[in-house]
Amino acid sequence: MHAETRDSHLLQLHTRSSRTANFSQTLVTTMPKHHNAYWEVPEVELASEKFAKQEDDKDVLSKLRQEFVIPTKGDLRNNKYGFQQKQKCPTSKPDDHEESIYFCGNSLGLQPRRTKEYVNRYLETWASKGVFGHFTDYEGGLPPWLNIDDAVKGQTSKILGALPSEVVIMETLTANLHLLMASFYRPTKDRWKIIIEGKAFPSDHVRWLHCSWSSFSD
Amino acid sequence: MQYAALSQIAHHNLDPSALITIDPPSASAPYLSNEHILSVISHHAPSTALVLLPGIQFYSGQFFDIELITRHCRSLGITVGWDLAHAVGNVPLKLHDWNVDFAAWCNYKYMNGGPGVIGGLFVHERHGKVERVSANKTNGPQDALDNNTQLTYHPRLSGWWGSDKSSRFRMDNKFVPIAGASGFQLSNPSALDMTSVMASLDVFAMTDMEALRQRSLKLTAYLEARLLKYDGGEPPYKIITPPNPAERGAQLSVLLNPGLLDQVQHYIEERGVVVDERKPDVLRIAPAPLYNSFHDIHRFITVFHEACRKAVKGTATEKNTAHNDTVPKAIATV
Repeated sequence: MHAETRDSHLLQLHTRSSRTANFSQTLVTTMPKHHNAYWEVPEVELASEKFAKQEDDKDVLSKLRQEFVIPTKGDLRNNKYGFQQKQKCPTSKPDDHEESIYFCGNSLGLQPRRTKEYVNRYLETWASKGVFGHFTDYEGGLPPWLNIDDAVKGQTSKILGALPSEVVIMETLTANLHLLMASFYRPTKDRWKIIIEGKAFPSDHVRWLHCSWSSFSD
Repeated sequence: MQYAALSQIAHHNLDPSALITIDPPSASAPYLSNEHILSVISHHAPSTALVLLPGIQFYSGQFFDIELITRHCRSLGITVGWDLAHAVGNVPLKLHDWNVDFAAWCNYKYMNGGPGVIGGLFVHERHGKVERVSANKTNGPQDALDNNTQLTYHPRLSGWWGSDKSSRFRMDNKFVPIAGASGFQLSNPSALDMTSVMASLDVFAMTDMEALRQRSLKLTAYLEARLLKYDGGEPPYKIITPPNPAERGAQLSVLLNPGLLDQVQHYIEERGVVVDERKPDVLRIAPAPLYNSFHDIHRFITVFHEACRKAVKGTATEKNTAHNDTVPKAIATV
């Protein structure tokens, strides 16, 4: 099995002689159809601005939008950092004042309004108290930096569906994956493979990565 | 994730063939059925040490059945970890009840902590235990660690911030891990980052994930319904995200007909629409339930459909020639 390549694995999956082939081949492709309640809304009504606004009015969570800074179209067009100034200039556009349509929260979420205030409190604590900010609980301040990791566990654990002791805010995504693999990926002569999803990628790249490590550890 | 997994394999001096990928049929049909995922895992089970999957796939937006896949892996004696970058703050999760071994995420997407802000990790309770084994049992239970007491805990790369707070500043070279995930910490976290994450968490505290999910399901269903109603017949695109709401989060990925992406993206960006693109043909549209509205979706559809009609006619940009020079840079999508 050690010599098996991903390519031959793919071949097996797509070959009828393989034990698993028949099974997986029939089940790989089609997405099941599904009903959408909005299809019951008459087409003209569904396409109207009025309908969208009604849906917003109906939902109590719509008010959470106020917690965020929504950049205007003018802000996004502004070549200078920060928000667009109000006065008109030759490059102004009539819709500059409108809120932008930001659907990129899967890449970078928008800024909560309170972030600036919290960060200011952090800056002022550091500026005015120095090293004491680590240990001292100041009135109106944020938790002492020494305990700030514990202070974010409660809400984080609710979002993850975990016990507070099971989560920690630390490092960054890939660094954490490496730390976790250092702990949980302990290959043996019987079990050594890692299964991930995604397209197979160029073998050159693979070889390069492999060589770069081998030269370290040999 | 591929780089991380491959470099771990190389780190152990193993052949890169140790990396098994569960492949989608194609980029235009990226759906992976549970049956397919489970069958690949079963096929390799006897030789597999680890399954590492995304909770939500970044390209297709498919939300995998974490509970089912985790149960399957664990029944086969395989450790399973999840990359939750696109799932956290987007869909409800139950990592403890689902018996997930470990997970990691970032806090800058649906978590709104700011670009590159500090991330997070989960280690299931059963792996976080720190137990004391006394070498000399006649002494009875001991509170202080001495040379007769040994600790047992899951092996890890450790650092001083993962050591028990009471002993942390003693610097006596005895690592006493904090029980649970905190024992995996290395250095003290950036208080600036933590402050930003705290601000975001306090917004999440104003609701809960179940309520947020109900709103998200409606927003995304509305977006889907509006995308599928295209004036002038067949839309010049298709949605490649699963139509089953249980198999997706907020995001819908739209595969445009070949050659349209640059013109469409240019047109909508000029009109204040921010969505990200995956070359060559995919736009990912993610209405975040915390701040996006139905009205946002309505305004988006109006501009997007206009862009599509113009791009199909080849008139989306004022000058058809050399439009590539004026197309804005692709939005960075880490």
